[in-house]
Order: sequence, then structure tokens, then C-alpha cells
Amino acid sequence: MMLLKKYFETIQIAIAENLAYRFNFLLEFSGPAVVYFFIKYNIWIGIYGGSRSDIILGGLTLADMLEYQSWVLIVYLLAHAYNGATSAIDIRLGRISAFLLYPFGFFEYHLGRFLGFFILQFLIAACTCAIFYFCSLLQVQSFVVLSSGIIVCLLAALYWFLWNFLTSIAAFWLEETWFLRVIMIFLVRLLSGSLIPLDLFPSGIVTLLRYTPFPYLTYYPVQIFQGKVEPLDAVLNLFVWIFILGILNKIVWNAGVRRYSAAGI
Amino acid sequence: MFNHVYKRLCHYCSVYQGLFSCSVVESTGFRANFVFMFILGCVSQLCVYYGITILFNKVSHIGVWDRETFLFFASYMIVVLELHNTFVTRNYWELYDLIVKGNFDFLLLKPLHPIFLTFFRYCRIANFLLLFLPVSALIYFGTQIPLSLEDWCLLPFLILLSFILLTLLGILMSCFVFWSYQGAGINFLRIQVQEMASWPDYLFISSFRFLFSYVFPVLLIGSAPVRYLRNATDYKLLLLMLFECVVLCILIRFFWRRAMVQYESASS
Repeated sequence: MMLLKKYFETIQIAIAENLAYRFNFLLEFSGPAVVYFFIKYNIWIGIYGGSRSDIILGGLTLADMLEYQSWVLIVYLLAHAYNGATSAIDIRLGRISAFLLYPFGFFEYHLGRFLGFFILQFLIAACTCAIFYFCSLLQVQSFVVLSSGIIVCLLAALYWFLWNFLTSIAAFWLEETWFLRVIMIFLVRLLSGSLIPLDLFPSGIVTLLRYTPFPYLTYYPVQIFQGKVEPLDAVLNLFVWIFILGILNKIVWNAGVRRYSAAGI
Repeated sequence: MFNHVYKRLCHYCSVYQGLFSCSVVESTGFRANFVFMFILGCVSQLCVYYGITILFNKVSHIGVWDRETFLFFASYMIVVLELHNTFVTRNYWELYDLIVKGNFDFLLLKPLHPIFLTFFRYCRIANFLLLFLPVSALIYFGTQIPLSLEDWCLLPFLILLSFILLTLLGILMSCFVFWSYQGAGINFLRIQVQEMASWPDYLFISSFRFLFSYVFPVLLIGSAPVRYLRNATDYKLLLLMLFECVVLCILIRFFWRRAMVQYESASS
């Protein structure tokens, strides 16, 4: 019960911190996603040869593609917007010394902050979804489909958080860790179907990608929102990848703390 | 007058030489960082080329350009972006740190223009090595289009012009860090603006094309030179690019002065 209270307090603080500088929050986390959506929106209209095109690419008409890209933005806002930059700075500047003494661990603290961030992003994604719905850019199949999409996005967000945390604790060994995050962003952008839907990829590559976490971070959540696939497969896969990353985080954290010298204390 | 300008230029060049050699020592000192930076650059370049390849497996033309022209454009933009990453990008990220920690005061005291010291202080040497792949691709796809001898001679100057326009846009956006709570938001937005420049202008709908060619000329960076290289009569956008460089210099001067008024000097 005490642990839950600590989580609750951390979530509250994270929300208050983010809302203190609202413009900065939008600029840092939502602005780039919206600009990226705008770019993709234009690019796909250009690739299809105009807004009245009847070309079909990979089984998708222009309207299908724009709906797909609209859902990609929603999935991005829910699942990929978090960047764990602060945790790496905490390690580099030696702030984790305090967390080693607190009755609330470093991982728990950042998990709490992530949950607070997710709540805010959920509200932004809900507003964006409503705007797209009224602009007829996307269709909501049913409440059940929408809910299952959100649950899959929560799992994808958790995976994203764990990956970011793993790269952050690499700061025990590395001077800079942002490279690892940015490499992942580039790979996710291409291989998760964020820019180009996996329907346009060669079938051999798609089969190969199913054994990686990438398609479950964007392509499958979008398909679930569109009611094209059942969520069970994506949920199970994400659970497996979250479990693997959880164990990796534990191992790397233990090794890192053993190495940590807490200079200055 | 000419002698004075020449002396100043020599002075700036000698300072830049010192800054560059410091960056080389720093980059090679942290070898893991250097390697990861190299891997990051390779991943980003391969993602661009593979993404375009996937698209051209489904269509023969994107708009008016075929596969070779599109890949030539992509290579051109990667070269410009890697040059920009080598010589300028890190300085955008450092600016916020300089301001909040009060180190910006020391730049203001030095006998050089603060814009020079702020935006050309650090280099990322790993990115310079990454130029190998896109330059090779640029030469290969240039022979496929094909380019004439004059075009080949003009190409380095066009790359330089694109680099200057991209840098001016980046500096203009970075001026707004002085008004923001953190620099990250503006930097993330700048990255997206760069992303926009990585696509040909004709893909954008006309109103946005006008906006991002004439008002905020990000689409000119790659599209204007490549259009000119494909068709020498298509030179108007290139002239517009030169004009926009002048306008941006004036805007940077204006906003930089306003930023200096806004700056509170945390350390003093």
C-alpha cells in the first residue's frame, strides 16, 4: 500500500512538472510527432500522385494510407513519445547515490514518472484522435476495438520505456547514451511500419521482422485500432519482449551499480 | 579596408583551426562514443536508402522523378546533412547548456563574434567519415542521371550553398532557445524541419510548398539545386535560395540582438 502511495505521488509530481512548462512539453514531445505526420501526409499524397488518385499500393488506396498514417500518429503519441534522457543524466551526474538510499528505487521512480507522462500523452492522443475522427481522417470501429488498441499501445509504451531505461543505464559505462536511443528511433521508424506500412515490404523481410519487437510497436497496434487483426498475438509478443527487456535491465543495473563509485560522497 | 577584412578572416580561420583540432582530440579520446556515432550515421543512411528502395519496388516514378534521380536527391541531402552534423549540429544542443550554466557569459567576453563561437565551436568528426557512402552514391547516381561536366563542376558549390542555407535556418531556430524553458523542444522541432528538407518539394501540396519555399525556405535546401542540375533552365529557385540566405542573415542579426536583450546571464 505504501509502495502504491509512492507511485501515486511520483505520478502526480511528473504530471505537475510537465504541465508547469506546457509549451515546452508540447514542443518536445508532441510537436515533432505532428510535424512528422504532416510530412508523411504530404509525401504519401505525392507518392500516390495527387489527392484524387485511384492507385493501389500494397493493397492500400490513398484513403487507406492516410488513415493508416493517422493511426500511426496516435500510436506514436501513446507509445513512442517518451525519452528517458533524464535517467541517463541522473547516473552521469551521480544523482543516483540518493536513490540508492531512498526507500523508493531508481527504476520505480522513473517508472512512476513514465506513468505520469503516459497519462498526459493519453489525453493528447485522445484529443488528436477526436480531431482526426471529426475530420474523417480515421474511423473508430467500436469501443472494444479502441480499448484493445489502447491496451496494446500501453504495452508498447512499456516496452519503449524499458528500452530507454536500458540505454540510460548504459551511462554506467558510456559518456553519452543518446546514440543508442536515436539508433532505435531510426530502426523503429523504418522497421515498425511507421513511415512505410509493412504491407509494402518484401514478404521475406516481413516474416523476419515478426521475430523482432519492431512490428509490434507500430504496425500491429495500428492494425488492431483498425480492427484488422486480433490483439492476442501482439499482446503475447509484447509480453515476451517486455519480460526479456525486464531481465536485461535487472542484469545491467546490478552490474552497473557494482561498478558505480559514487564519486564526491 | 580589404586588408582589414583579410586579417580578420585569417584570425577567424586560425581560431577555427584550433577549435577543430580540439574537437578531433575530444572525439578520438572517447572512442566508444566515436564508434556509436559512426554506427548511428550508418544506420540512418541505410534506413533512408532502404526506405526509398522499398517505395520504388512498388512504383516506377514518384511524381516526376525516377528511381535514379530520387536516389541522387537522397544522396545529395545526406551529404548536406552529414556536413551539417559534422560542423554545426552539436553546437545547437550545447547552446542551452551554455545559457543555463552561465558559460555563455564567457563567450560574450571573447574578442570574436558570439555567433561564431556559439555555433562553430564543436565538430563531430565521426560524421565526416560517414560522408564516404553518400558521396560515393552521389557520384554513382550522378553518372546515371547523367550530369554534364559543368554540372559536376558546379556540384560542390551547390552542396556548399545548401549547407549554408541549412545552417542559417538552424541558427535562426536556435535563437529561440533564449526564450524557451529548455533547448530540447526547439532542437527536436529543428530535426523535423531537416526531415522535411530530405524530401523533394514537389511532393508537398502547393500551399505548403509555397510556405516552405518562400517564407521558411526549408524545401529549397535540396530541391532547388537538384532541380537545377536536372534542368539548367530551372534556375529561379536557385536564385531564390541565394536571396533567402541574405534574408536569413538579416533575420538572424535581428533575433540575435533581441536574444541578447532577453539573456539574463545566470552566472553574473
